Amino acid sequence: MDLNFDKVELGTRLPDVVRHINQDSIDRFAVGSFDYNPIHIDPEWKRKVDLPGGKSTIAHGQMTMSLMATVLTDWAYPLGGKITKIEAKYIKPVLPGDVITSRGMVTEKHFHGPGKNFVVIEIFAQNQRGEKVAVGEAEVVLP
Amino acid sequence: MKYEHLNKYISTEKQKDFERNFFVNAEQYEVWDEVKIGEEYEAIRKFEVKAEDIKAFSQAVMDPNPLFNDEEYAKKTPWGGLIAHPLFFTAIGFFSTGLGHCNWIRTPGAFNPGQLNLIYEPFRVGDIITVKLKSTDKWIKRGKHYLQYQQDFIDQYGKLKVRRWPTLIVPPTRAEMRKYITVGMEKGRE
Repeated sequence: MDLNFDKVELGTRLPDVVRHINQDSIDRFAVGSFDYNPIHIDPEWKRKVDLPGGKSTIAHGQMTMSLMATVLTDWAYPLGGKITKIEAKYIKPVLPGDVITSRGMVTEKHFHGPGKNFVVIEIFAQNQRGEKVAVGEAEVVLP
Repeated sequence: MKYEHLNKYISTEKQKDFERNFFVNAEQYEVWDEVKIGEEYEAIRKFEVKAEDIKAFSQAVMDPNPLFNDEEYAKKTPWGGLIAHPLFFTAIGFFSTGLGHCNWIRTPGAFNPGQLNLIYEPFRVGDIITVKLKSTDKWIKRGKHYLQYQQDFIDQYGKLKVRRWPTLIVPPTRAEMRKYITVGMEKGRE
């Protein structure tokens, strides 16, 4: 519990976040996010259209990004660090039944003075087959 | 109410009455070939943040962090009180956005390839958020039609809390969009 900017080293790996995704967790995210796009919650509709995921519903991209953000908040937020920027590309659909592991690694340190110093963290999420489903980058200000 | 099997997950006042059928007013949505870059729009509804909203989103993203769930714990941290998960803007955006310009997030057949988000301050209980949107780019790449817009989340004091640039892949024309609606109607579940 002594995380601070001076002590963080390049290459530091943040603890993984692992979540099992199923239709129930996708449905719960739809309610929590107000995103009721049938691509996520309507298996019957999804079977009839030509959209990513084949015949299956897909998890919300925002859910995948949320899991990646949790890697950052678990690490930095208890001591007052905060995310100031997060970006991601979704490169493969997340399907019901997938086990998603989200990871982060410190790749840059930016020296802007106390309260403004920040690190850049490469983030990605991969499924149980080791296939990346999302890649991105975040900036986190550290005390 | 459409998708009644989702009722078991409802835990907030806002969730109770929210329209779940994204296709119900789709004819009033703006589609890719109608979009003029640079037009601005203010979302129809403000979002007053309550503790139940923050906790519900935390559950939705499977993140039990006490900063998002336990007021007493959060008071004792450098944050000084409950804050929302960083992706909470997702819920505000979908709840607030109505018809008209920049309502592409509900477009039948649309999906989300990625985005950039700048977070200036976390959302907290008591915030009353206005969402402002502006179309910033539209393009074609490998046969897909993309839209990008700027989405600002501003509190009741005029402070910008989040600025983001979501991107969507969408049907290019109204006729193409309607094909996705027709699939829904064939099912007779309207």
